[in-house]
Amino acid sequence: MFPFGNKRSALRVKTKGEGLGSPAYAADREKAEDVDRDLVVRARGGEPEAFEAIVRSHQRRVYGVALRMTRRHEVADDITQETFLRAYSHLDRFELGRPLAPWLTRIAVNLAINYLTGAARREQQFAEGEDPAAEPRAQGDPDPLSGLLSEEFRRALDAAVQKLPPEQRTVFLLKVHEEMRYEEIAEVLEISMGTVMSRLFRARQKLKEMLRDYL
Amino acid sequence: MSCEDFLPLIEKLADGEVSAAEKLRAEAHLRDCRDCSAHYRFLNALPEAARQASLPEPPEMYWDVLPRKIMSRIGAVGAGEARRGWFFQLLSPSRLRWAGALAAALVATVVGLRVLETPHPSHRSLETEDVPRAAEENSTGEDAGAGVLEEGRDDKSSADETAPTMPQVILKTEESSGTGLSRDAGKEGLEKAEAGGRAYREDRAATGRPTRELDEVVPGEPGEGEEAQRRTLAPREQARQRVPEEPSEQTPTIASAGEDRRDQEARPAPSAPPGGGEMVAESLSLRDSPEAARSTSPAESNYRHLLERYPLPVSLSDDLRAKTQNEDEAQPAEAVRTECAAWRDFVERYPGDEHEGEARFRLARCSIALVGLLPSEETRRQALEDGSSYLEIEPEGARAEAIRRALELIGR
Repeated sequence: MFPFGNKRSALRVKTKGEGLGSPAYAADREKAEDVDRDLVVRARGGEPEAFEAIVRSHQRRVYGVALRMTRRHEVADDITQETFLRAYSHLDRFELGRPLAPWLTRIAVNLAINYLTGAARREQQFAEGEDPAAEPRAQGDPDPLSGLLSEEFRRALDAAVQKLPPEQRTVFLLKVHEEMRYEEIAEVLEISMGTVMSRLFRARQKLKEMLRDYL
Repeated sequence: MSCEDFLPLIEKLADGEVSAAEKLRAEAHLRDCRDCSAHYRFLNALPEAARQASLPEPPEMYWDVLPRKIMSRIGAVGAGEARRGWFFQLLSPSRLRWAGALAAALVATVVGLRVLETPHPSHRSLETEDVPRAAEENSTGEDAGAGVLEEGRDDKSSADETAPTMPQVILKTEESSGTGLSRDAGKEGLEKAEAGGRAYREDRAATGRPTRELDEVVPGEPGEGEEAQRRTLAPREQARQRVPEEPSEQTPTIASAGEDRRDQEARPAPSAPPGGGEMVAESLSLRDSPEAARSTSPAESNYRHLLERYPLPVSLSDDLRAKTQNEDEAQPAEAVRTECAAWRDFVERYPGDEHEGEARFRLARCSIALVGLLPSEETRRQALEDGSSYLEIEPEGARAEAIRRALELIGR
């Protein structure tokens, strides 16, 4: 099998405290967007090196989104490649005034949703019989909240997230891992902010229900 | 307000998306309500726990390999330009524009001189594929030649790049009609259309005859009847017959293997016409140009076409039984079969092509998926063969490993 490492959170682009609202992040993002814009212009002008630079700059984020949504390296690998191929073929449609990252994320998310929708039944079948969320919490834990940070809880949460419907899972992952604001998620998924909020609300309600033994 | 009413506000608070006023309201409620307070702590703990959940990460090398893979798939376009060296670099838009302008000036000068040398205008006919049409469109004869000029530019947004395949303009003197030498104006291209148009205008001015008359009746020319009519009334038809179709229409064999059912099936249709050379053409600013499409090799066209048609290959699952659960398509087996046939056709048709590895990989995946859908001895054998043929080409890497594992399952 693929020689995966075991690093945690290395795929994340941001870390806590570097949220979209922070000035430092905003400045970095603005600079990165300028670089992206220049690369897009050069790529449109026929410079393959420029597009390769775009790939190198965004591949981790795109792959990370795809992997978190699909949980399979092979699929995430395919989705990442497909995302950049589509981006390349539609580069002329990209609006230069907008940031590139959400555009790429949108392509990747849509591909992942397509995959998940098709594979939903299969995944549901896989998930049956291995429902960590259904396992009883370790007895004798005095503080319910301490369970939230336990390794066991994390595994259960991971499994529970996979059981969410693709649309809710997508919103949840974009919110949690990409730390996107409602507005940004709405833009990426091309849905209204109200829909984002309701999907997120339902996703959390379901997670809470599935993880009730840990609370 | 009940706790239920506060829930959305508490969610927004946890997400950091509340206004100052909302924040005050929410916090006031949280101070008084233990249930909501517990829910708020849950919401806050959730992201951290989710982020801490271990996620397998590919080795660092992967991030170097992935861009290469992507650029390789884009291949014939971006990387190709650098990889294919000086010849394709000469085809860059800026260079072609300069070359086109230079060639136009040169040819215009030469043709202009030759036109001036012609003995008598009335003894000279002008045959071109486009001038008559332009003349017909402009019954007054005004600017017929200019029409040709403009047409050359309109047909191709970057006409200078397409110069080698623009309509041919041939000047005929009296000799060329059977009594003497035939003088070809030179190479094909816009330059000649320009020169032809210029000469045509001069000729018309000299004879004082309207364009149609000049084109339809060429005194002293043999084959005046049928041949002249053919020449003057149907040049566009002739031109159309000579110009090959777009690659999308050139590639019926491979395309047809997967075309029939897929168009109406669940898989997304290509976002653009399946013109095989579209991506290549796009990069060279030759989109929608038949000439551009023609410059793409058939293998490249077909490869692009298949990628467009089958954007995401049938998923390779460790558990092949799951394939039988695929109900997204009315007849999944048939759809997968057509995809397999398309990739197999490509592999057989273009052995040694730069995309052979990818094509064999796609074929292997399809074939393995087919085993899940049609678990017959025949499909199993075919899947093993297809998978092995891929592994012969690319023995290393995650994909090869996945195929190997799938074949092991089939082989059991």
